[in-house]
Amino acid sequence: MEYATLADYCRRLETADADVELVATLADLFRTADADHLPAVVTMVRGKVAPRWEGLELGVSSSLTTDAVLRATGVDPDALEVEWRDRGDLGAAAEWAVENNRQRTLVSGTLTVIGVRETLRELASYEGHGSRDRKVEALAGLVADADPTEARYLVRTALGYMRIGVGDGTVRDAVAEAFLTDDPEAGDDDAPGTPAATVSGVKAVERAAQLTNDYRVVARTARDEGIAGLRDLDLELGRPVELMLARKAEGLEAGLTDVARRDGAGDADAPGWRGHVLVETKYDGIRVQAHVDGDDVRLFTRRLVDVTEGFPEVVDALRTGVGAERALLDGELVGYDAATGEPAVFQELSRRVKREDDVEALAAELPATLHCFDCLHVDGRTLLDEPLDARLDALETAFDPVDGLERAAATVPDDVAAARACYREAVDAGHEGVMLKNLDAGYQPGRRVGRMLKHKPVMEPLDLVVTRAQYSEGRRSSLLGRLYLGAYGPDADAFREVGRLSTGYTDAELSELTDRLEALVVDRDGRDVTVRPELVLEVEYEELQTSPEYGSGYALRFPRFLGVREDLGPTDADTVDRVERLYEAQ
Amino acid sequence: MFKAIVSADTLESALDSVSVLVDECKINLNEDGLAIRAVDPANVGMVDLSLAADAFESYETDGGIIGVNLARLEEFVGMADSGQLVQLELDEETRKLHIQIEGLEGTLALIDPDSIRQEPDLPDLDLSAEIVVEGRDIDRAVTAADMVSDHIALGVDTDEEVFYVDAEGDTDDVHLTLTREDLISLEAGEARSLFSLDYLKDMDKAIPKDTEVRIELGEEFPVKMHFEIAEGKGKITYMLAPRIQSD
Repeated sequence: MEYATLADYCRRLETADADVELVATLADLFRTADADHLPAVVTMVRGKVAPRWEGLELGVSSSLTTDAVLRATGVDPDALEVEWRDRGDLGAAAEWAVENNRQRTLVSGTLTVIGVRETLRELASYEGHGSRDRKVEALAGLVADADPTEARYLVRTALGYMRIGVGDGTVRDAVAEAFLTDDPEAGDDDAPGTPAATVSGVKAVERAAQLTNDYRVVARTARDEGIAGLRDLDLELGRPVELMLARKAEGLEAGLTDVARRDGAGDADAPGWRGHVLVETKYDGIRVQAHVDGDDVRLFTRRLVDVTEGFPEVVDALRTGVGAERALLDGELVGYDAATGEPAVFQELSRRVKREDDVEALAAELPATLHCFDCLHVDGRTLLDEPLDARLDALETAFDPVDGLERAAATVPDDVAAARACYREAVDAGHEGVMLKNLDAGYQPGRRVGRMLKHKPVMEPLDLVVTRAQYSEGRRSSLLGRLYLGAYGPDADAFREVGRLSTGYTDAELSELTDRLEALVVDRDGRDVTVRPELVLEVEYEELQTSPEYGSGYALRFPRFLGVREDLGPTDADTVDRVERLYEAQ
Repeated sequence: MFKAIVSADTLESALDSVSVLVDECKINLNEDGLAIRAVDPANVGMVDLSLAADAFESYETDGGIIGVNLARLEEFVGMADSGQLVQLELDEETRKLHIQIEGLEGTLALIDPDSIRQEPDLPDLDLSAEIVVEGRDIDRAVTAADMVSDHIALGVDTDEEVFYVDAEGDTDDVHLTLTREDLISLEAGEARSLFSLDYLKDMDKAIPKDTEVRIELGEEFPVKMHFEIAEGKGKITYMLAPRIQSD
């Protein structure tokens, strides 16, 4: 498939004005792609050249891309900057640059979808001295062969941000629309927002995507084997799954009732939660899934990043402790200070993920324990649809506790006082709080669900996304010292600002933040920049106020920087709804 | 089979002339010598190099093509002092290049030549003017133009019989005129083309200052620059696509 075809579809998607049209167009593209191209196309319409769990970082910044466009087209740098500012994104500016190309070539080539994907994938492998220049040259090579529309989308793909209105939900619906409408099941309903897809088709695609985390596999299976093939897809050890995520409880007592009620196991008025809710210590560490396949052990974070190399002692513990031949366990990695035995704060432990220092030395200084609390698969049995108490039984038999591998502390309380005692005990031991879990509920990968709630001390920090920034004045004038923070609004898939942060960081931290933010800049206006909303910060504050100044209608009073949440993506940030609830609760 | 011994200086200048444009290239091992042709990823600049067998102290091959990472190979060769000899030998089994410099031995992993982009054919161009200058004149022109602009015009004025260089920046400009007396030779024809200094600067780095450079130039056409290294036993041609002239 020529890249021009894909670019043409991207243009149609970008200008589609209804969900139905979006899904129809995308489904048409999926049907058009042949077996070799379908896997490439499903990731590239999301601006990616690999599934997230491959951890492929192209390392392409806006400034690198600008250099590549300049090199390929020979346009005036200032004019490109103006176009970028006026059009609001670099892809559109690249389109302009190719239209106004000033550099001839000796020969010209035709871009193919696979060729573009491979060239972009190779960028990730350029390392060390001279790697930036090589990336500029390779990207310039693509732009040189691109027509204006191709340039618009390949630049956006290089930057990992397509802006064509296609989300994971659109891809899901389009796969069902493209391949699963021929043979509808009796009594099946039409899926909303699609021309002809069915509810069961969309569900099968969603389920397969949660289990595989790989739309390349899902799309191919849907196309070749239909709905039955999708239902046969299963977890695969070594390939990470989306973990089930918790909502926040509005208080311990309310949480106990809420978590039981969500799945219909309890009743709002009766104390129906007794015997149906597990209260478990919430550890402040790194959520990981452990894949054990004989001696082959891998650890992935909830962002699906492979962190196996950072935790050799935990890998050893899993090899020793897990009696099952094959198992997929869900748990929290916690670092304990070797000298005091106290749990270490998250930032300390995250050093082990980054492996900035010697792995062995860090393991000795801050040995980690994996506190397991769920079991998704054991010896050929996938347990996602089993209730939690059955999964806990499986967890019990899957491993024996050894140094570095334990069950998470938990009880099934009979009354609120017992639950409160668990909570006090967890917090007193230096942990974060407790999790409340519905024992009758199945495991929902990738969902923040009400069958699992977390309860922590009040006025806890918020996790917010940087949306805009300003350079400071005076001593820090080269640094982006004023950061606008946004809470996530899932309905509009947008971030609404809740205030401006300017304290709490050291010069070194700020300088690192500036570097990271500058790589995300999409627009500049004098000393103000708009950034791609990607960087999630943990921020504490004294209280919430209503405010007409910010898009959310609320403002943080005295916000203060606590750290970067490396483990969170932008859509994992706290929501506008939560800010509103906190405001009302204070 | 490939086995050759060559002076480090000769090998270095040959490799430098290619590495200013590309990071990886295919080397054709011909019986009469090495040949490399490569075009940069953006298809703007091309290099065509041949290094004859008699540029080597010894040279044996029965043909073939190898792919190399130029930066890595240059690092190896850079270990040699000026005047030292470098021995290259292809291990067919492991597809590695065995390199020996005095007591130093090493092996360099090769790249699958098929993974390196296909070199294009040299476009056949009929260029109206031919100018022969010294390498240092090109260096002077490029350095002067770089002070004021990111592009440079090369041209021939047929009335005045001069070769000229113009560079115009936003505020400043530079002009350099070389008359027939300043040049080694001039075949005048109407010619003026604009070029990116980015590329020309890189090419200039690889052109020896004391060598003769034969420039072929046309009206809004690519420029060709021919020069020799290793006492005429290595021949290099650069070709550079023009920029579109401003209105």
